[in-house]
Amino acid sequence: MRDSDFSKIYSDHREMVWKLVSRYVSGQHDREDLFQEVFVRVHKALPKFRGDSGIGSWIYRIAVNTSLNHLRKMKLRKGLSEALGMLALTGHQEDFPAEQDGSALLRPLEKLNPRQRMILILSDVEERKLSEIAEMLNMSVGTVKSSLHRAREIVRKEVEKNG
Amino acid sequence: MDKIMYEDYTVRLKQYRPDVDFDGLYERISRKAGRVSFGPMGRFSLALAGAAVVASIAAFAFVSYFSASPGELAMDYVFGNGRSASSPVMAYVFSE
Repeated sequence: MRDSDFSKIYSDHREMVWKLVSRYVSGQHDREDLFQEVFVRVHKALPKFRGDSGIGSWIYRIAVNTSLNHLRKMKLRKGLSEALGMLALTGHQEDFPAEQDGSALLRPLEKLNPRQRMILILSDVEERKLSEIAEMLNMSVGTVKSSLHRAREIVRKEVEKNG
Repeated sequence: MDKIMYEDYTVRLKQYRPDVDFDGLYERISRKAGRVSFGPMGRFSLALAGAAVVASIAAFAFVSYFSASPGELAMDYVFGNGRSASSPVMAYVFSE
């Protein structure tokens, strides 16, 4: 693979990936780390890309799965740190308070678990079809529908509470 | 009422797009992916330096093969090879 190939792929899809990760995690530092992780994975997997689907869908799928794993790892790390009473180890979120980088908007989403958050973003923000979400997350459409319903309820309550 | 508020919230989410330095992130990704990224001028300079190194090695090999060794050439230059007095040392000796 030539540098120019990856550079073109990066230029064509960076906006799509950035929008997804910046709605999914709070804090500029975490977003940039996640964004970087997505494209490093794309770079590594590119020689194996067979072209069964469009490259955009393939990258999007990598972005979704990397984001899910990233948030799970972060939650685990945060839980562990809180359990140990060492908040200093919770990562970068504390370095960038939500109000400072505009991500106070994402606070209602923080009440959701990683999968619910992803489903809600994919459905109600990115406007993806339920069947597409189910395929991406390797779930049944019924499970996606019920998770979405639950996620909407939680966020609705949060939005209402915070005005 | 709830529905309107929730929909308003999703509209704000759709519009939300924090600033980012894509070029800076590209450099970080390139480094992390194990490659060094060069711009067009960087690539040209690198190619030029590479060509210069290859040419030097080729010239050295050519001289070594078809002529005396570099050591012999140096000795000839300093002390002359017995055929001329053009070397600095021999020129000094003959001038005395």
